[in-house]
Amino acid sequence: MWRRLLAIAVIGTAVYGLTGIGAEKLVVYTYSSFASWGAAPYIEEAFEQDRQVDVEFVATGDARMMLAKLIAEQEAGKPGADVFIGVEAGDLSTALDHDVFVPLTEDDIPNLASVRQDLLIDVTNSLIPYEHSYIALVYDSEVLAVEDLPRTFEALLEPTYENMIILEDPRTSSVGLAFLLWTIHQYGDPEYLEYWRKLLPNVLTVTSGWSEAYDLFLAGEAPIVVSFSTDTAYSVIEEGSNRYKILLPNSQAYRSVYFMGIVEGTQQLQLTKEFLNFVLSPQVQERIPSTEWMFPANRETLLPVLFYQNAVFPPDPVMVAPEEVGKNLDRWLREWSRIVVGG
Amino acid sequence: MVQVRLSAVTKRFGETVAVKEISFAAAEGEFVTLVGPSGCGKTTILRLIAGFEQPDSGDILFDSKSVLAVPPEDRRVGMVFQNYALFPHMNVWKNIAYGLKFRPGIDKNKRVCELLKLVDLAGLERRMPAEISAGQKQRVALARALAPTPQLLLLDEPLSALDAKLRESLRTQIRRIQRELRLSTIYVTHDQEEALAISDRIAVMSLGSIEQIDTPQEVYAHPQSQFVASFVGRSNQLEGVVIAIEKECAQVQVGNVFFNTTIRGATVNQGDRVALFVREEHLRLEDSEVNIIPARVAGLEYHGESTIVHLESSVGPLRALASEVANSLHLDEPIKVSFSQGNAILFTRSVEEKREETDFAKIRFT
Amino acid sequence: MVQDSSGWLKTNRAGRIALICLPLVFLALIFYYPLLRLFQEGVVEEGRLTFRYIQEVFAEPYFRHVILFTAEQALLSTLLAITIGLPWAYIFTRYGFPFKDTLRSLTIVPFVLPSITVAVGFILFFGNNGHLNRLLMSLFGLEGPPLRLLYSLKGIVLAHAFYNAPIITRMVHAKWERLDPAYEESAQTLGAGRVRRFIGVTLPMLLPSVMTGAALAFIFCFLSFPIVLALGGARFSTLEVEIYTQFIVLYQHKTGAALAIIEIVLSLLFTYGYIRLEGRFTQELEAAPIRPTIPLLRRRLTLGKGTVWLFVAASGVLFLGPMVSIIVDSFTREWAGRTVLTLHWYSYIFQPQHEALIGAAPLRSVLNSFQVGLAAMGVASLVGLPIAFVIARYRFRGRRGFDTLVMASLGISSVALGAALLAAFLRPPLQLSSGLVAIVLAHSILAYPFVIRAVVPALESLDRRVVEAARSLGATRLQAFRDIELPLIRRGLLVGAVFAFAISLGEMSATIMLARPELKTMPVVVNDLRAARSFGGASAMSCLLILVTGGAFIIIERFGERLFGGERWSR
Repeated sequence: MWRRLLAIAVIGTAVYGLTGIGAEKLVVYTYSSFASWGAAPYIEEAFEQDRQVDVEFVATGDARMMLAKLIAEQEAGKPGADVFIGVEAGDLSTALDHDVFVPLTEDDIPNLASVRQDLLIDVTNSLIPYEHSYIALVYDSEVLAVEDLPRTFEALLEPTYENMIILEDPRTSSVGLAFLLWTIHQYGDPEYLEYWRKLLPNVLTVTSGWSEAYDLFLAGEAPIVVSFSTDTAYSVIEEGSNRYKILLPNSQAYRSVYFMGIVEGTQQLQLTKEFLNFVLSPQVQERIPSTEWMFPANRETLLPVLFYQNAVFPPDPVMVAPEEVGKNLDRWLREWSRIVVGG
Repeated sequence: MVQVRLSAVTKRFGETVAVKEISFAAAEGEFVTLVGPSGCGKTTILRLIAGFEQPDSGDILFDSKSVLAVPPEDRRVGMVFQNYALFPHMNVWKNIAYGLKFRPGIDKNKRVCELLKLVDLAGLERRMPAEISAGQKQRVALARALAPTPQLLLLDEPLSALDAKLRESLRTQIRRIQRELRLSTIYVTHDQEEALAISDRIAVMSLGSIEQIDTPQEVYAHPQSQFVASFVGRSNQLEGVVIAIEKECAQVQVGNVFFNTTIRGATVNQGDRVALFVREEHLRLEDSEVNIIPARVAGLEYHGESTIVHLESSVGPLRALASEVANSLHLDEPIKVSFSQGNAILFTRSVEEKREETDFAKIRFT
Repeated sequence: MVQDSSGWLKTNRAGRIALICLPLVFLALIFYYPLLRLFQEGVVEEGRLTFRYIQEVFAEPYFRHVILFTAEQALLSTLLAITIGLPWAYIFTRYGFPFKDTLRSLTIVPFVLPSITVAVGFILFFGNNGHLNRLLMSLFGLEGPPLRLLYSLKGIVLAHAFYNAPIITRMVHAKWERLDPAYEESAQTLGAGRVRRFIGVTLPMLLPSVMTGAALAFIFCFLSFPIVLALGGARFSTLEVEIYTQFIVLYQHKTGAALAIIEIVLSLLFTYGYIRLEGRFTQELEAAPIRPTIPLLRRRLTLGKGTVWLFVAASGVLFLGPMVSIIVDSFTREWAGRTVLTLHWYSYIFQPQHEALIGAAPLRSVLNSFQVGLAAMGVASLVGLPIAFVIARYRFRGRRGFDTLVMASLGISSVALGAALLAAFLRPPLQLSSGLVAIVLAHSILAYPFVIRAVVPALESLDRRVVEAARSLGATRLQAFRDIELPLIRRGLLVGAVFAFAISLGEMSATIMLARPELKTMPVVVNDLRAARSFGGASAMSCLLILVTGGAFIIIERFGERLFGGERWSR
């Protein structure tokens, strides 16, 4: 019986290896939600249409794990992908430090010209943005009436909100990291630690990732969660509900940008450039809101009406400069965990 | 139907020497029993013959050919284990038939039926080992060992886990079958009575060596060492000093009683310290001319056809095996007991025997 | 000196040594080598051995706190597991009731559920807005949720008890039901009352099995990762979380490796303790008859039976609540603020075509899970069986140490394992291009210890004379193994193999690092669905997973075997 199983395994491997022979291959590492619910299927289909190419999205974990995987492969001299989609702004300096991506110009990527200026954070353009959103607070309007909302950071510390806030772990979640950086931006270093100390009693839990946090929020465990300002659009469009609304503490939101890049060492340099350009094209960017629930990077894209009406575009987004993040992330995360863990 | 010979076989386990340079042979068709207390090495010898252990030195020969290089499965030795070792997942039929798998050409059905009849288990083929009695298990084990027509049969205390009556009937059965098949057999037991009852020859073993190997009658009547004398049969043991020697007769003083004994074989000198053995059945409950011991009845053990009389005397506690006379005895009754000159067995006390005596003291009245 | 009680000629021995060395070589290549590669980062700097990073870890109060917390929650969880598991052992021992065997088989199901499923179930049921609290609030007209169990140490300990109480139950019950009533009866004739009998006579005899089960439970709780994260949150960091952070987030491989080394050394110590206890435990499990039981459902309701029912109800809430919540969740959907019953999620799961959300048809993941599971089961058995043989049959110095070492994968951080395998498979000499093989190997590594633990007791309880009997009848050593030993340990092997299969079904962490889209297994899909906001879909997938796992265990238990409870040939 074991022999039969071994045969199955071997044959399965062989079959797997045999697919994709013939066409040129483009491997894209990305995070699982992009590959599954996101724009990936459309991109794959459309890109393959006119070209003799096989696009393969590999997304077996969250963005950070995929990046770790890519970096490990790079160090071994065998990068497994040609393109990476999904570096968040908070990880920008880390990614750039490892020299994984190829610097680009508008000559390489014509559509780069249409990208919003404020999103072009990487001056070398080794990583270029494809979508963005804003980190804010999302609340359950059935639990919190408008008068009861915590409208400032300080208000969040009030005892009325005990055990009412769901946060994400900045070590494991980009959203969590964004929120942490936001508090650092607001209060400065090291005063932000004091803020966290006072905030903790009001925090129900600090989850490892955004989906866990949102899961808890939807299950009604707590009425406030740190999430994206585009979430209301999802609620209205997909669930027909007005229940979940956005709150901008201090009338601010924190910028969250997602980047993509060409992996150093790719054999398909030209093809990858075309690919990135394609992702920035209006045809793809149009699909970003309804698949990614984010704002498109291409400023010339038209947003669907309902999305436009319900997603919140903050007037005054803030952000900590990537170089600052790069210099201090290690220390900040360590200090943060000293306060929170066992706190 | 093979002659087995061990030649100066020694086996060590770590520091202990289990078998010390043992040599003996079993002729074709002979039933030899290895008997001795636990730890004397008898099971080890069996395992060496079967091939589950390798001797550290010496040789094992089947029909004058060494089998040391032959693995157990090729030695054609049938083995019956102490707790039967039946294959629990196979029924009786399959257990018995197992050995036939490796002997192609034999009609399995016919052979198994033959054996079932031989051990009187016809009708139980489909039962599982867990569903049959201990006695039946033992017979299945025997049938299984015999099925592939082995040239040698080894039995390792096969009856020790059974009750007395069953033991007796099964041992007779085993002997009968062995005779019918004229199968060379080596039997291991710690029960000397069993050994006496069914063997052609007995090898009495102690601490890795054979003390004496002879016919049961010889071993019983003429034990060659103190150990054999005490292990086989039931004896009274007295210790004394040789006062005088006259031709074939020695006078021994035990306490303040004097005995006349016949010397046979043993070299005895005046002044030697000796051990005097008198078998229970040789201690008569009557007055006599010589070797009289005044005693008192201390206990009576009724055994149906005989009675064991426990006595207190000036030479120590004694036991006598008696028949009807005993019916009229009472406790605390004074009585004179005696034994004839020729019924005493004399041993000089060697250094070794002195050492053995400490063990021996525990098994005095076995 | 190696003493083989039934060994023979040198030529045979060479063949046998090869057979046994093969799985060890295999393990050395795909487990120990990658692991050591990873570890050497923690203790080697510029070519020289250094303990600097390990020392730094111990010097930092924060890390010490994390290590202590990891041990603390494991200890509390184990205690709660004993508190729940022991009475259940009593119930199984003393009472008979319909479907008792099925229930007993199902007790192991919680253990193999992927933690992601358990976490969701707990949140849905025990959460502040969960079914239990809402029920209590409406029953008693309360304002806020009365039971704040989650997002705290309480929640973690509760979930761990959910996982591990069944282990205690099974081990203690296996021993208890064969405990000779004569001991208690003689105490009774001497005048000891019920309680005194239990404390003075029964408990001391059960203690080895309790300790063994507790040791195993402790190890699992110590290494627990997703449950702690999901139900405790970042405030309750354990070693695992720290290792993840160091490797994946901060790229601090040296500190991460140092932590991983500390973790595995501690686990090995606990595993060694468990093995020593287990040795005593299986030795004492003789072929005693099973004691008689009292029917539970007979009419008379005594105080004893009343307490039993109360306890059954309470633990029923603990075990069934979360799972029922998941089932309910998979059948409901929010639309326009209302909750509706729907088959939407299931139709989605079972649709045959390529579904963008998953990267493959959901049913494909079921197929993948089975493919990988069966392959992993096969490899784990092939590796585990010879090793179990060595442990059970051969006596040599350091045998227990050897046993501990081969069980090492039980105590390895899954994150560290994933990282180690990834690094090792990228370059020679182990370079693998196939994701499928890598996943199967990873699962096999995680599963083979269970095969060993299931087969060793079976081998040890096998009378060695039976093998000798076969040989005296003409069978070679190998034939004797095939005809006699293999059938007799077949059930132990089957139990271990199916367990390996179940472990593979539920594995997620290592798989994520190594898998490719077409190779996604069910737990990975559950994870993806949650990430894709398809929480109902995730619940439906989880239900499928529960069904498959539960089904597998019921099937093996039909053969009458019990894992972690020793095995005795009875039929």
